[in-house]
Amino acid sequence: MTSDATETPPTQRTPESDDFPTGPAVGEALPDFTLLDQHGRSVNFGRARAGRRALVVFQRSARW
Amino acid sequence: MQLQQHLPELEAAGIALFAIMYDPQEALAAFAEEQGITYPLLSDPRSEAIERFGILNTLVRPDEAVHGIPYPGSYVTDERGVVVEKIFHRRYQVRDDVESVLHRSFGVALDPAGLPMAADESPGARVSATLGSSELVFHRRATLFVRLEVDPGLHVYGAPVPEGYFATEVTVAGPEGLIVEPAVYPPTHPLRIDAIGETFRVFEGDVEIAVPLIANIRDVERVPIEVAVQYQACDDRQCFLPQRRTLRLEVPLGSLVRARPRA
Repeated sequence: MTSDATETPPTQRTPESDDFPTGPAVGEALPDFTLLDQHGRSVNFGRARAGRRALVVFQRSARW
Repeated sequence: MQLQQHLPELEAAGIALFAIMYDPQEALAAFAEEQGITYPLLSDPRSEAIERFGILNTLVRPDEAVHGIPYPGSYVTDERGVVVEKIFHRRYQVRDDVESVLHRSFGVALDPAGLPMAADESPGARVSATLGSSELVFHRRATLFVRLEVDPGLHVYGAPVPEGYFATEVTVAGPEGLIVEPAVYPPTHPLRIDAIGETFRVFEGDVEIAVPLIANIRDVERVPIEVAVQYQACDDRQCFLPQRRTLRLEVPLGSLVRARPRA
């Protein structure tokens, strides 16, 4: 087992431990949301999911 | 994640994909165009969804330009939108390998063709280790799936075990820079052996243990990984000797494909 040898030093933006907020717990429903997609269309999570399983990914940024 | 590349598999498995970023819609339009992204990139410029989820990165001060970013991570939900798994890592550089997530979180069968794999046998059981993706990539979290196929009528033990018995245990080792996260064992079930009046926690049939790996390694072509699997197969009357099998995999280290720099 090797240690987590960090490539970049932790910054203000990177939590120093694994103890940081990760939102709704396993077993809880995700909050609903309605946001614009890249084409400017309004997307509602519940309606677009349409009874399917989902993978919801929060990413850092498209610009940096 | 290399989501666009694996979009066909996600769609075939009936999985709805949503990616949320704090960038304005115009920035996402440019990004989608440049990267050829067709799945929904959702713009949350006021971080409303990010705040509603409770994952606003509050380590960034409100006066900083990047204020509004989330702690990056992913949620796997069932058909009702209920969270069944969360995939977070404190370092935004670490992304999960999509093939591993498809198998581990959504139960999509692994296609063993092209995946690094090693196997061995002992009386009563066959052991194998298969990486969930064809290669390791710097900063990408892949999952090693260690599978124990236990013959019908036999069982192996889960921890904790009474003295004198051997719990099933997987230990993964590799070179400096290979981060091995704790192994995730499936649930055991109780088995009462009347002859000795004891109840054990056991696994039967096909047992799959997931071991997440992150390669903080560069400048090598292959990463040697050693997987030690300890177990003891028994039926309700007798046991085989405890086994310790060591599987060795040579996993290619792929290159990280970076987004093209923006003009």
